[in-house]
Amino acid sequence: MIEFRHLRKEYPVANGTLVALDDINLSIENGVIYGIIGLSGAGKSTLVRCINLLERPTEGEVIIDGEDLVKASGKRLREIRRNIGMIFQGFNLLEQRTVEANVRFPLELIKTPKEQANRRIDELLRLVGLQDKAKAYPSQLSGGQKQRVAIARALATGPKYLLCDEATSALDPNTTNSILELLKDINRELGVTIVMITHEMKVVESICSYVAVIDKSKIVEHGKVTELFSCPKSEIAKELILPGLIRSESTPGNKLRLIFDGSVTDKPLISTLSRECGVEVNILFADTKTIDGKIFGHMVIAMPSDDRAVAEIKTFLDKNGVTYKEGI
Amino acid sequence: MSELLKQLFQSGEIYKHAWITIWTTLLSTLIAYLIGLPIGVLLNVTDKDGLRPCVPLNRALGLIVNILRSMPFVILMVAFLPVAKFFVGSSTGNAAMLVMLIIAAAPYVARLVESSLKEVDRGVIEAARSMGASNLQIIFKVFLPEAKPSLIVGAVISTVTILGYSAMASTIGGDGLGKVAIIYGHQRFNEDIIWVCVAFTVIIVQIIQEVGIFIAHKTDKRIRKIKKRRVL
Repeated sequence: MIEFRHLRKEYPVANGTLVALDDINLSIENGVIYGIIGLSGAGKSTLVRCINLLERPTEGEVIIDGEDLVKASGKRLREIRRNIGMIFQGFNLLEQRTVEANVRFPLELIKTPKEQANRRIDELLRLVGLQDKAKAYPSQLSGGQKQRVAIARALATGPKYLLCDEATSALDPNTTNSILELLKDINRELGVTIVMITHEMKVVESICSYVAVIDKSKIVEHGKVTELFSCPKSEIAKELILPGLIRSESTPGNKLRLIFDGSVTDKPLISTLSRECGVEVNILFADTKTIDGKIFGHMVIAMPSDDRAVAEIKTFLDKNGVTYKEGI
Repeated sequence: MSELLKQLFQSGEIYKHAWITIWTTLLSTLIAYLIGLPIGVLLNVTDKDGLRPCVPLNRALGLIVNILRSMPFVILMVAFLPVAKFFVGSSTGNAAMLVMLIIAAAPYVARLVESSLKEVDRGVIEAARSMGASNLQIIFKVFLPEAKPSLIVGAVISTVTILGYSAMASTIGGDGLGKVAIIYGHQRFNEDIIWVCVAFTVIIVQIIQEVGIFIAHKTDKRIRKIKKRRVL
């Protein structure tokens, strides 16, 4: 388990101090995929770097499996870091080493016997699907392939935790999905606890089970992703879920946000609604996808001004098991 | 062609001096690297953004390097005559010349190494730290290998610079093409000898450059490689 207790991080700047993290308290249970979401400059990258103490907090405790890292010696800290893999937005591969030699790097650090290291490298490259690229150099790979190498490298020492710092932000949507799938597999099959730092709600939505929202150096909200998604409390969470433009749009009448968490099967819901309730439905925003015949995502529709029609729509939605929220 | 030039060729004297220029340059570059490389690493590591910041040591080293770097070679030679005497027992001749070249080249090498290491991506260093690498492991397994192409280019630049210095070393009685050009050429009014020496040095420099840059290019595995044709 990863725990932060009263974590504070300050940086000296030209005119005083910059508070990057302010009284952070958070627990991340083993086995989950935990998202930490926020806009750039919110402090999320600093927060993830406090987990393996790449950044030393000014105050507070970072406790991993009961041990306070802030108090650990240099040698002990290096041992602990081998139990916490990390991948980055910029991949950070050694450019002068082959794929295989990059994955070998963490094994070299702990002087793993060559035979054993070779076996481990084979295993890892198979896991990330890059056996055929073992002898290639990073410059010959695509972004997604580079991130796969980085993942293999981060897992080489068999860590219990994996930190991802905007790991998919430099990738195109398709590649992002394939990397997210890979991370999901790693979580499920190897039981690795994953902490994902991101500014994209999509990433959190598609693989995280828990999420913390960080804004202006503070955690403003945390909990299950499904709860946050259906009922965001903080302004920033609302902003991340729905772009402000759509929320503030001066469409006459009330709006309703329909939330699909996979409990509704794929069917022509809106046209059925329109027919059964005898109303015209105007879709203002929709971001849904169908996975295994189930709908995930959300949709904003304009409501008729007629109260009876509104009641009918709500009855219809209740009957079909769609979660909704008025006024977005 | 002057008589003296003919004599220089017939006796093989000119080749002997060219050869001395080559080996004094290469040997002093090598020794300068043995001293300058660790200093360059230390300058990088102790920098306030370095692996192990130590500002007082960084400042002190930087000051020594800067003083030596700002001394013109001719002045440095006369100023450090006692040092040469201490190390090789003489303040003139080829051995003294080697000492002078090393004193002049080591700080130059240190700065070149320092700047090569600065080019290494900080993200890669961070990744290595996240994997539990110690500072020494980062130096030997990340900094130096990742900066290798740039370090090789630096070595080419220092070799060429030292070759230039070595020509001045005839002032303290060092042999080489510099001596031939000044004593047999300039002082005895044989302009053709000067130009022969120029031709020799141009050839030597070109060979060093081409070979060095070829190796740097060959070892570089990045997309944006060190340029093959590079103005040194």
